[in-house]
Amino acid sequence: MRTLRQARGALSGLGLGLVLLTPLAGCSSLQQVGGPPPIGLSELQRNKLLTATDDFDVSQAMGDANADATRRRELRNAYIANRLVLMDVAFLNYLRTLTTDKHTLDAASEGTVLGLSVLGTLMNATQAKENLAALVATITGLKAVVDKNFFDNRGLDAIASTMVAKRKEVLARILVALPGSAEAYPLVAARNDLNDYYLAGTMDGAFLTIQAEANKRDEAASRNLSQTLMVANTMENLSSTTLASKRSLTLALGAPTATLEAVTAALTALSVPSDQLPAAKDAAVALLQKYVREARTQVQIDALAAIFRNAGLTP
Amino acid sequence: MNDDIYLVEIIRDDLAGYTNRVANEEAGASEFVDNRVSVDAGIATNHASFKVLPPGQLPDPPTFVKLGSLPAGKQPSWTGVLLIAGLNVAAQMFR
Repeated sequence: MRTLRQARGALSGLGLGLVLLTPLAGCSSLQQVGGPPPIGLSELQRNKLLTATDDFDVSQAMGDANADATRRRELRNAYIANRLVLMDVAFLNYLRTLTTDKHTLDAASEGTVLGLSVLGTLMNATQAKENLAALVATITGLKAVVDKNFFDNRGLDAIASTMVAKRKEVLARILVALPGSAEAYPLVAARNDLNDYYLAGTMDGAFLTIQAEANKRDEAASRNLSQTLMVANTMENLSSTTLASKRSLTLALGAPTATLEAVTAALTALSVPSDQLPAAKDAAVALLQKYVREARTQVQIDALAAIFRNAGLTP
Repeated sequence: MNDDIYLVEIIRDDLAGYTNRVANEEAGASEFVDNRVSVDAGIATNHASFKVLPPGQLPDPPTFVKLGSLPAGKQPSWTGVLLIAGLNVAAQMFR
């Protein structure tokens, strides 16, 4: 399989690569859209791109290319590249509109009349945010899964960040598929991905992403997973020695030296009460592996390594 | 039990640090599954999901790189978006 760099090279060959790849870097932060207007497309350029991506014409050209696999791939990639340019330019302009409105609404909230709009409610007080939550829930019919905390905690920047992140996910999917043949990645699949790409750059798309996350949290809660469901961030980076040490502890649990006696000795040293020591070896090993997994700092790993040595699990 | 998926919050300023944190987690018989840029208490962060492996099992060590900078001959085992130093980064992981 060809690399993404080669895929990008293929797009550059179409003369559109530079325009296409610019948003990859330019969309990285909402702050970056607060600057001068992005270079847009002239009406002539835009019409040219629209004409070049006419669904009927492209489908017909693909059909005319028939058995010419190289030509079919070129046609598909040109279609994707042109559509991406159109969408990226539109998205950048849309982001600028959002930030412009944000400033406008920030000023308006200081005393002038605030127009009622979806964007307005985003930037308004808590009650307005709840109104937005209700509105979105009504539209999608998914009121139960709307996470109100989202509207309390996230601002417009976070919503835009969600859009940008989701767009990159879809773009990565497209770029990975691009070097493949027109049969492996047919035009209809490319259209679907482009639709996803467009949707990811809309408010609706961002809300769908947020709702999907809320759904996942609901599912996780209902499954009543273990207490380690969410492990908090730790800033410590382990040295290669400590990483190797932790790996060796895990490997020791799969080795023949991991007898029930040795594992029980280690669990006892870890202050597991005697009435909670598993009687079966598999359960005992699984419990000790949990201790290894949850040792995430050098101090914890070093302490565990000493216990493993004393119990005869490691040399 | 071995089908359990759990989440790990990862905040890092570079891909090497993110790689280190994932390697740390995988050293305890877990396997990286996916990363979602999410928001927790108003702060954008990474929520990486891991699958619990059977005791004694280790995946090959991971390396995360920016999208498109995969070493020659390597296949990505994951492609997605990470929040690194507060910015969205399209990234790939290989082993």
